[in-house]
Amino acid sequence: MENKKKGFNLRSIIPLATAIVALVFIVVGLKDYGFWNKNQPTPGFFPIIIAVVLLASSIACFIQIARDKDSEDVKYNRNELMVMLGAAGIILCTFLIGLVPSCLIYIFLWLKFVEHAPWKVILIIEVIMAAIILGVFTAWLQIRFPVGLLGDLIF
Amino acid sequence: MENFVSLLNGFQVALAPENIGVCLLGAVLGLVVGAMPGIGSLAGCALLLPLTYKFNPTTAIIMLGALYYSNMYGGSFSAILLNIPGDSPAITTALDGYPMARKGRPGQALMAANVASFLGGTIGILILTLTASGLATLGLKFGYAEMTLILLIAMTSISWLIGENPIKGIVITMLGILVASIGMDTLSGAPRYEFGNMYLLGGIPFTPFIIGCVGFAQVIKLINEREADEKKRSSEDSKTKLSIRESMLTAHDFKRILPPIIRSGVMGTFVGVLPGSGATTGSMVGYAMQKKFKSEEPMGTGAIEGIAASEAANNAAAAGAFAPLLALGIPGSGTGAVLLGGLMMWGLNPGPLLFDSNPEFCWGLISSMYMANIFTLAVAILVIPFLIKILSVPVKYMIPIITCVCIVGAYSTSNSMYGVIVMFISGIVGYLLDKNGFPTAPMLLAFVLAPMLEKNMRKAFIASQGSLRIFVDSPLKLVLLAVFLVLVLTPVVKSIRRKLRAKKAQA
Repeated sequence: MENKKKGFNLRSIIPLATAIVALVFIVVGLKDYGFWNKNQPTPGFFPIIIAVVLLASSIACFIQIARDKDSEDVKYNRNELMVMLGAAGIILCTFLIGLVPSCLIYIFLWLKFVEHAPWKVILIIEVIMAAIILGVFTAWLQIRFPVGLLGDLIF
Repeated sequence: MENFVSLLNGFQVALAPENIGVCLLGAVLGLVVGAMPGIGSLAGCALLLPLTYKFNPTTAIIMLGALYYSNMYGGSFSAILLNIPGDSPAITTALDGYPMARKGRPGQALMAANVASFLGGTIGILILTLTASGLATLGLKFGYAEMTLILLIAMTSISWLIGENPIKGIVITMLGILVASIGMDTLSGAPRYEFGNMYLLGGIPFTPFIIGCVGFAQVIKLINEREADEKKRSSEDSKTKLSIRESMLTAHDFKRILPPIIRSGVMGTFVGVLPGSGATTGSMVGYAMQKKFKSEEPMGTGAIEGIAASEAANNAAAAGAFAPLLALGIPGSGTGAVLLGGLMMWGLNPGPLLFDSNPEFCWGLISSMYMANIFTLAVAILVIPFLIKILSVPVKYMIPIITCVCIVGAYSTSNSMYGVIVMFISGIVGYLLDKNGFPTAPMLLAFVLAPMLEKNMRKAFIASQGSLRIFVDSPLKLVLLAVFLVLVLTPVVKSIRRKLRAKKAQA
């Protein structure tokens, strides 16, 4: 997933995104919340000023990146995407089987198939995590974690 | 004298059994989290923040304070034994700590780090005791305009100090402020930038946002450190056996470490007080200062003076950072921002009035830092024989564990999957920003300070009926404005000078 320096530079995405965010805040602010009314600042006053500064600095940053030919390209790693997909998987599975089982299944799958950890290690980590989630969060902090569709059907 | 009487009253609060218990728990957790390479005090505090919700604000902040404080101790363990700094303030400790361990004195290197952390921290807490309430009294004289300028200085200084690119610092700071402005208007309470979404009406929840930006983003980065971690662990140095008796320092060692500890302790405290600096800058300044003094062995080759200077400075800075946090409501670092956010969630408003309105809280916290310092030293010495086991948890096993802690923690603080989704999105955004050289700490600081800045700025304009004169009508305001302008213009001037020099060199 290495980005090439030909054409559009991937490093420019951040200033572009922040410039878009700034524009949205300026337009919505001016349209819905105003800037100044009867010698007093309105709710839009502060965010609009900040958004204008953000827009200007984003443009400056974009130009800086476009001119900079010497710095190394940002390298993305497939494994980083796997961590994100893993967390996204837990969130999606929570709606089906609940948060606690999703976390424990994720830990098992990650350790077994990504890290190829021995069974003993997997078992120890599963027990520790179950103790932390159920002991600290559920029993001590009294957090009621979502049980998902399956939990709703069973209970 | 008055401060010491208040401190004694603070000890009555800190010595409550519950507070002693959480202080000890914070010390142990901080040491463990600090020793784990790659997590750091910022992520550690963010991940453990949900655990404190069960407590009252004083107990909760005592635990967090002890955690933050002991983290500084823990960071040196992996730096000395594995050459992997547990946290950024321990980078300079590794420069001499690891070579000293390789010379066959790992135990003494650890002990020197512990003693220096303890004494440096004590110096920092003493200075905090003497100055914090005075700073708060000074703060009471500040009106809306002065507070606006101070908050601007705090935000600007951290943007410049973290990262080398001032433009990126501005972008990230402004982004943090805009994210904080989602939800409700700070003065009128009217909905603002909620885009018709009922969840956004309550704003972006603080803890899930912090857990995501720091904790989850860190996990995504950790995946790339797996191989380097494995290699370092397979080396023989990481299989050293340690005992407390063999780790004891000699009288000669004490003679060598005492002067750098005192120097760096005092210097580190003042660095910590400055907005935007924190423990990392403290340890670097302390180490750099030690280079100017004579050491028995050359610095960087295992000089015990280097370890002492770095560790004393970072612990002193960690203590010093509490002064502006409590007295003015201005955090000195990203971790300070997490602590400030925690305080706000418990309904406390750090600032000049806090010492008057909640003296038992302020002095209870300060006195608990003395306790935390002693507890952490005791625990840090006792764990020396078990350090190899603590440090032997490979990074690859930490990834699924921290991911789940992030998700469970984000849910528990918001009692809704909305918190988990905020954590997930802010984690990815935080990771992308960091990957592209945008430091996330200024964003967190801006996120926490933005409501205060907006409130003070708007009230100043309302009081002056829209006139800008309110920001320049007294000598103090002019000084503050000058400091702000210097902070804004210095990096610009530096950048121009650098370019001119490069052009000259080319010619």
